[in-house]
Amino acid sequence: MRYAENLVFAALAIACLRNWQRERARADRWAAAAFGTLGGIGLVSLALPATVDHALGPNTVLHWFYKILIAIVLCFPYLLVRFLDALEPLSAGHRRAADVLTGATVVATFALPRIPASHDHHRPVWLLAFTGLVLVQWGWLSGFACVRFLVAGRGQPTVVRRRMQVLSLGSFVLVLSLIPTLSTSKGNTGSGAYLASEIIGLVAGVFFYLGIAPPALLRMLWRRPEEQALRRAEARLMTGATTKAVATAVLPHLPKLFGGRVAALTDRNGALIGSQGTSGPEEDAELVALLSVRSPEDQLRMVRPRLLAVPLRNGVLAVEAGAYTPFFGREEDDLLHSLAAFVDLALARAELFERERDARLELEVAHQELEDLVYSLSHDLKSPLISLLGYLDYLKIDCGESLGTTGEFYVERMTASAGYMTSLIEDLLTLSRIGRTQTEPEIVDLAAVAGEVVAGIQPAAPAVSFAVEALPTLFVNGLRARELLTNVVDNAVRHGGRSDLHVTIWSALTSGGDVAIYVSDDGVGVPEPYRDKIFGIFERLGAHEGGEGGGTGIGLAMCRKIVEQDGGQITVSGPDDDIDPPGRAPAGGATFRIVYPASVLRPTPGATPIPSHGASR
Amino acid sequence: MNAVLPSPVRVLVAEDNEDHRFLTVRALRQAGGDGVEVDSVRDGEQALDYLYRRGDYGGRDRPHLIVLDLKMPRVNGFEVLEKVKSDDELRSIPVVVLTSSDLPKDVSDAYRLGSNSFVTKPAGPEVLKGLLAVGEYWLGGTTSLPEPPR
Repeated sequence: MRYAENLVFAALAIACLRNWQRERARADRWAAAAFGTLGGIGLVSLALPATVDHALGPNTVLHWFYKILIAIVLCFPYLLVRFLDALEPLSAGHRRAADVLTGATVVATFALPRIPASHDHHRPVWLLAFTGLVLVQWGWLSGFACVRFLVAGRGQPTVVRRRMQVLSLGSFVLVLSLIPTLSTSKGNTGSGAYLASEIIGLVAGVFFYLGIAPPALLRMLWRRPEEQALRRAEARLMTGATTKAVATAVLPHLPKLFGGRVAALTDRNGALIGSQGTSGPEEDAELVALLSVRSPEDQLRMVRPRLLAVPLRNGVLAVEAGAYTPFFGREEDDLLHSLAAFVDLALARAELFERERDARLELEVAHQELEDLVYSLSHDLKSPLISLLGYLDYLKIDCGESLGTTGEFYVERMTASAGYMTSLIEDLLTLSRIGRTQTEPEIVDLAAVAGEVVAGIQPAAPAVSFAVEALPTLFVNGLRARELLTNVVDNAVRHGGRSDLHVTIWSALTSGGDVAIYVSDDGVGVPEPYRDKIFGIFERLGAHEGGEGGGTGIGLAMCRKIVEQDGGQITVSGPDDDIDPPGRAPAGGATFRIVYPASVLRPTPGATPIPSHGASR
Repeated sequence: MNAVLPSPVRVLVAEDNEDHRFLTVRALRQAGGDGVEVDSVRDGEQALDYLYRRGDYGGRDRPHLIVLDLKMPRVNGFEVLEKVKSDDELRSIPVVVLTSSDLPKDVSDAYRLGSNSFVTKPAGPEVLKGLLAVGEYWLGGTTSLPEPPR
């Protein structure tokens, strides 16, 4: 039993010394001192007899030797309290009380006139007083340590809390170790009491060992709750769209997992992505400077021994253990490295995202600039035309008589050309504006819009007959929808090739459930090879007749842009083509088909539903 | 109506494009005949000098109507408009914005700053003649001008 106990304390001393060697922390120094002396005394006392047969007189060497041993043993709870003090400074009063009490006990030890023999039942008053003093010193300091350890662990990460609880338990057992001493002081020197004191010493030693240098298995077990939280955060980690989001997903868990205070993540260029638990920008800057060193792991040990940094392909991940944390072992290294691999992946992914987003933004800006250029260019192009039209007006007014019929004809053609160019520019402007001004969609009653469009075009084409059938209500841009219908209907009237054209506007649901709007006419139609081409900008089928009759070649391009902005499609077909839905005979000329996704369809209050595919009227 | 209308009606045209300025002045003179007196300036700075009778424009009477282009060098039309409509003495002079822009933002900004009318170029002689009607409306058809919005 004695051997086991001494072995435990020797191991403890070695563990503490190793801790101290690694991190040179004040707390570890006190712990090493405490358990080192205890272990040392244990080893020395192995050479001494377990019981003292004769009272040792004041002048024997053994007498002084025992006194020194007793004094050192009595220092143990004091060293434990100093260990606590290094972790979290005690109040001056508490520390002085511990100093005075321990000092008094040590002095009292050396003042003992003799060491009584183990079997000596006689208890002189000085011995009782000394025992009382030891009881108070040992009991109070151990009890104090027990409570303080427990308090220190409260609110800390599990790994720290458990460690502190184990240390507290060890201190509690130290208090218990007084009971056998008390019973021996009452004269019961049975081997039971002796055995109990040895067992208690052993148990305390084991607890202290588990607390000071917990084995990897125990550390992993203590880490379980935080590790589970981290696993849950990993999902968030992998979906982080920015490097910042990656940092926010993982950093709050790191200090908890490693029982520390500080965690930080820097990027490839050494800039801080995020930090956790630092005292402010100053500490952030200090961390960044430390982590930017080429081989951080070696350098860091010198400056911040508790900081563990893992270099990533995309930066550095670092976590600092707190004062209460058990030392880092290989298991912690492994854990941090596997975590770092995850973070690295997430960072790479987020960086890809960020690059892609930047590129898109750049493209948007470039696009915007181009649109602005088109707008201001069109604007500036208009200015000389305005002058031209003005002078032409006054040429007619002021010099009309001297122009003659030929001169007047020329002026007419010039005016028409300039007018045509003005409308070209106007249309170009409108086209550029479709992409430039993004307006909110609204509920649009297409039947009402079609009615107004027809009413607007009818005066210019009195012989054309229009038929507007049931049309849906859509969630689109109302102004653009009007432009769209105007252009398509205007195009039919303009290029129908006959003055008594019949134009029908109708709608149906396609077999795919999308909503289709048709503008059919019985005119000359669009020849098959040109059916896609006519939606291109400046594409016209007829010869340019000086602005009369033919459009600008922009109208249908505008239509396609409008429809595509709402996720739709516009096509044209001839009388022989099958259209979706089937079942309706084509009108004989061109049929423009505008298909919107079903998502823009809104119920029309009080209206008959749009004929589904296959239905005919 | 004509009883309250000043005679002649003085019109100031502020326009940087020489041709546009010539055509506008020409149209206004033709439309108004002897009843109008048209002066023109080349930019916003000159317009403000004219209105505050500074420099070369020391002895000029204030106009009854201002025809204002928006895109002008140095001081643009919006700035002139803002200055005129925030000046207690000048704000009663009707301002017609005559510009080649039809941007909705330009239109709303002009009205927000207190413009009395907004005409987009190209405006033929008939439209320009209408500008005078705007002036007549504000000068003769109402007894007091509404406060321009701040």
